[in-house]
Amino acid sequence: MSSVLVVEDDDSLREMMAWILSNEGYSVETAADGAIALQVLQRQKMDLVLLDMRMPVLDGWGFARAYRELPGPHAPIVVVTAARDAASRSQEVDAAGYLAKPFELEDLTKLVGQHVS
Amino acid sequence: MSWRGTSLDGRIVSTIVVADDSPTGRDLLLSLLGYAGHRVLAAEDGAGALDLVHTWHPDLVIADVLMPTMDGFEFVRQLRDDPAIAATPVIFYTAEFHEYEARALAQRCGVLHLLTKPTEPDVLLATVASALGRPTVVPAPELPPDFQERHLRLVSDRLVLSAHEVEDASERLAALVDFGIRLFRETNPDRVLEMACTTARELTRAASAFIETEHEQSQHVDRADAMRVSLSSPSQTYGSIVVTPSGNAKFTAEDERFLTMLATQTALRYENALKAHELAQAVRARDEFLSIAAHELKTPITSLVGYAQLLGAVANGRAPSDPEREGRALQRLEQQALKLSRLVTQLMDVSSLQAGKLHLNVSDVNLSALVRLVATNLRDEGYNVADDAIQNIHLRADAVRLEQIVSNLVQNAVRYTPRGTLIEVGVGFSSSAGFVEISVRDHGPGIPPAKRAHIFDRFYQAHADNHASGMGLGLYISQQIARLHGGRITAEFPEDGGSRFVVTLPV
Repeated sequence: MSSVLVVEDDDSLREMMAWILSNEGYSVETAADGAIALQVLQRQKMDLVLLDMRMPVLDGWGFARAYRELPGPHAPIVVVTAARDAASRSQEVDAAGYLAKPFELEDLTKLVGQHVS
Repeated sequence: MSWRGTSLDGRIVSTIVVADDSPTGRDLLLSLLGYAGHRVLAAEDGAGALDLVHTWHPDLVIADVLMPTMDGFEFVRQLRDDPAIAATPVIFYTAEFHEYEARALAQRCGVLHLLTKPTEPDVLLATVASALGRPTVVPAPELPPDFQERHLRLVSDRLVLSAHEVEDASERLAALVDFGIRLFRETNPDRVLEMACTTARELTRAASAFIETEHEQSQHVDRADAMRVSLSSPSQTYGSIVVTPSGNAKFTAEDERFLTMLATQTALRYENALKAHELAQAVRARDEFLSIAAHELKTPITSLVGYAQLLGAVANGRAPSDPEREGRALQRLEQQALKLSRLVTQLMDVSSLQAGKLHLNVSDVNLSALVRLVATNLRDEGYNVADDAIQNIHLRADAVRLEQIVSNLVQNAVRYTPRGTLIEVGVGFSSSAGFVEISVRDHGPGIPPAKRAHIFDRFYQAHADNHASGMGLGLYISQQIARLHGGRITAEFPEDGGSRFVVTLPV
């Protein structure tokens, strides 16, 4: 069973993504900001990180930098953003892919399926 | 023989030859002396004047010193060489005539009267009368042996000096033209003024140059020897550019002319740069706002779509049923739809305010009850809110809009303070008669001093750095609504931290 970490500050969205992915059979962990996400990743290995960019405490950029400084291996990051240019956000943090908000249920499941076996 | 006669009214009329290469100089003497009853004949240079003297044998010659072809000294030398006209009295009338050496030389040519341009008309006429009345001084038969050498030195010195002046003026003009070109490329208004100061200092060889505005008075202001030129466009004055001289130097009229030219160019460019800067800022603020607004709208929309699809999947049997999750999903749907509705309302409010179309629906409002209700609702949601409202304060206001203000202030307090921290809401009479106050005090981190001045600005987010805020419209809208009521909102930052927002309204 593949594991996915959802990093999203919006409670509603975080809960919704977790529900969708657990319905698909993934083992899901959640974090409300980048700092909490780092704590989760230090505790357990994940197969994929879904990362919001604008978050309090530690944002997506700060998280990506700090995560890569942790000893590897590193799970691929997929940026989930409401920014106009999602693609360039994803390049900024050297992400494996991106998902632009607003997205539909299937967009999320397809994308996650592409990045984890 | 010279011609001499009397005018019709009996005054003695003399014949005077004038030699001056400047038309205005000639015209002045012609009209002044002519008006005094003299017959005046004019030549443009020494040779022409000699011809006139030979023909007319005048009583007096008034000669400029620096003239083309044949100058004043050469003219006098040739005049004295010819016995027929040698005794003609000569007045030197020139702007160049100040060196001691030149005076001495003139005296040795028998030129006793010297006038410096410009001269008052009565001084000129008195000198002419004196020269005419005085017996003609017969000059030394031979000019001093070094006459030519000294004469040439005087003239060439004068020419070198003139050449220096021309060179200097052309250098300054070149500097000014160069300044104009650089100025044209500069779009930052502050740097336009910096550039103007640097160039003004070079141009006038000043010790210092600075900009003086109504708001910023510099310590140099009192210096009496400072030169000050206004920075004015046709529509507005932006202050003055001030230069102070180095050492004991004094500024000349030429310095002032150059500084004025520089100030004119600067003021125009500054005005344009300022306008362009403001426009660019407005465009940037709008773009930022659109991007933030889109971001804020996309988040609840994503939730709505996702939960609706999840519930649909459960209903169709494509996803397992989980009554607890489904119940929460329904709550989320309502919550996110309301959030979306609030965001849209804010956007509409801003749009109405900007168009001046936000109208108040005024009725009698029990302010105390209104504030207590907001506090009670928040307590029901689990927040630590204390209210301290004087009973039954009534005023004429738009109840919905007042509730919007109070909710906004209290929600800000809730949003930016750690959960559980006390928030105090109060209603009371203001210290200024005829006003009441609503206060919202929190004990959170407060607002950094650098950001306090902007918190009521449209689209401004004091906490933007940690992405914790919404669109930056809440305080702006609240302030505008308070103003529409004839009141205002102020922010205080108590010593012991947090912030206190006070809404003052007329009763």
